[in-house]
Amino acid sequence: MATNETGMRTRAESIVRFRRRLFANPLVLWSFLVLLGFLFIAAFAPYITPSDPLRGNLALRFAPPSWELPLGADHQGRDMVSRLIAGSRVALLVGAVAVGIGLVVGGLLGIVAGYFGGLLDVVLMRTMDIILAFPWLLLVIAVVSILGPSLTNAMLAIGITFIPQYARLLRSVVLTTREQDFVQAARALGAGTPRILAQHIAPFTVAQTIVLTTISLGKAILAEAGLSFLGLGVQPPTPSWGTMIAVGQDYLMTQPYLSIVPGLTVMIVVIALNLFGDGLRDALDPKRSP
Amino acid sequence: MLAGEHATAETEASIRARLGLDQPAHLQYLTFLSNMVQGDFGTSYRSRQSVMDHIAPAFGATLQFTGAALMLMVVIGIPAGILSATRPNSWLDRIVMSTVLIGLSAPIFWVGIVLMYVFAFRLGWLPSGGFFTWQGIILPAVTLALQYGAIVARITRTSMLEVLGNDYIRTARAKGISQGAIFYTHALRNASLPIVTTIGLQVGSMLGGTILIETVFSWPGLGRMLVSAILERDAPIVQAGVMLIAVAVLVLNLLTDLVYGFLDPRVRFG
Repeated sequence: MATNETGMRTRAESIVRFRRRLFANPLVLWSFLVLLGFLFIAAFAPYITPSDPLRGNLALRFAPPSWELPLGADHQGRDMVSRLIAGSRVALLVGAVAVGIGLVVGGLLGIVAGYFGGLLDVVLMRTMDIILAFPWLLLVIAVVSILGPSLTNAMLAIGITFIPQYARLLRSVVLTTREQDFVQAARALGAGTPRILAQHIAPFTVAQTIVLTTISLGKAILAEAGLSFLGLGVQPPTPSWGTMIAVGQDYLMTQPYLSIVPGLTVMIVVIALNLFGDGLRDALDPKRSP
Repeated sequence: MLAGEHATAETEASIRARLGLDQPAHLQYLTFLSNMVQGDFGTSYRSRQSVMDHIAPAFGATLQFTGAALMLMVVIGIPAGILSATRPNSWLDRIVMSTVLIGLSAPIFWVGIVLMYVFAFRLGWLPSGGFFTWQGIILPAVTLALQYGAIVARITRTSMLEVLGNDYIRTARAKGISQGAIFYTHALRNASLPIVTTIGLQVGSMLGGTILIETVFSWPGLGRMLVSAILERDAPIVQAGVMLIAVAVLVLNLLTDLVYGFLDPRVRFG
């Protein structure tokens, strides 16, 4: 084993070891590449769309796939490739913001509940149980029905469904870390609560939080597609993969690719997120360390 | 909004009074609560009929196809998981696990659309929707069962593999008990608690999934009614629909807890 004089692995060495373990499974490597591609496309969407995803050419209505339009054109003569690319941006935006809401709100609630315990813990965690007991789609729909359908409200509604999972995860990590000797030592040395939470407890939550976030991102993208499919999420003409599937269903008999291709895109991205999340979990799991 | 764009102030006021919207919000809520516990969910803003008249048949339709899907999910998911666990890493296991991954990652409504395209439009074997023939239930139920069956198959495989690693399984093998008997009497019974928990939890989430699938297949159930009520801002229907599904989930969770007692003699209700 590569070690330096103190017998500890250096940071660079452990990163290399982690990377080797992570990509030992070729599927994890492939899903990583797919995700990189997805991030790139979503980030640079406005610069790489071959044509305007919003303005169509009615002469090209239902144009079949060809060299100029590799995936054909939709019912308004809009280029499907451009719409898929623009849709990737919406999917990533909703996914990132929704998971961000869950992470920040749920994480804070979980840490507070776990660290302080007592009545506060009971009240917070029972509230989380109530949210978890609802089917997530029903919860999202209930929120959207109060706030009205829009992109912002979709992000908010989906974000709420992630709060309990983060709260539970971080609470459990804090509970196990709180009583460890080094935390007691820090307290004995006079460190205040915020300092203990940020410097001594937070680092232990990072690994599992990253895994949960990868898998939640996939769920959020599925949720956005579903909500937009129902007409309760992203509103036209903004391109969303879910809306594209819904519109395509109207022409399923004659132009099946109009709904099949956007659905495949969602599936590929979510499969990549799930596989990568599983790979991360296995690589980060200390019990499986070789 | 109901009165239309050109309504006069009087029409608007009279509609508000009829719907009780002229009352302060907290009074409206109290009225809603007291009526609800008496089984009265009010009247639809749109059709002016009692909400119960709308919801009862829709709930029946949803139960019908969720029930069919639940049966499929158990009948396909558990054996698939057991088969996978008997030979981990075999080609059979890989096929099952790939199907599970797809079931978990594909948008469920899109799976419905693809099945509809293949089996209704291309092959013409099944109707693409429709409530009134018995074949109409097949595609929606299969779609729903695919996704949730995948979850059941995965948990069955994991918990079987876990149980099979125990010492008493090795003892049973050493006593010369046949492979089949070990699987079904020794392993499955002990692996069944997490499986039942998962099924119980998933049925709740399935009721959410019906919302998407009912929209795809134009199934006249609770989910589709809920979505159109939201789009039409028909609040009493939305309230009653959400409430009904939430109560159904609670009842299912209670049933799941009760089933534990039958499966595991150590669980006693005190």
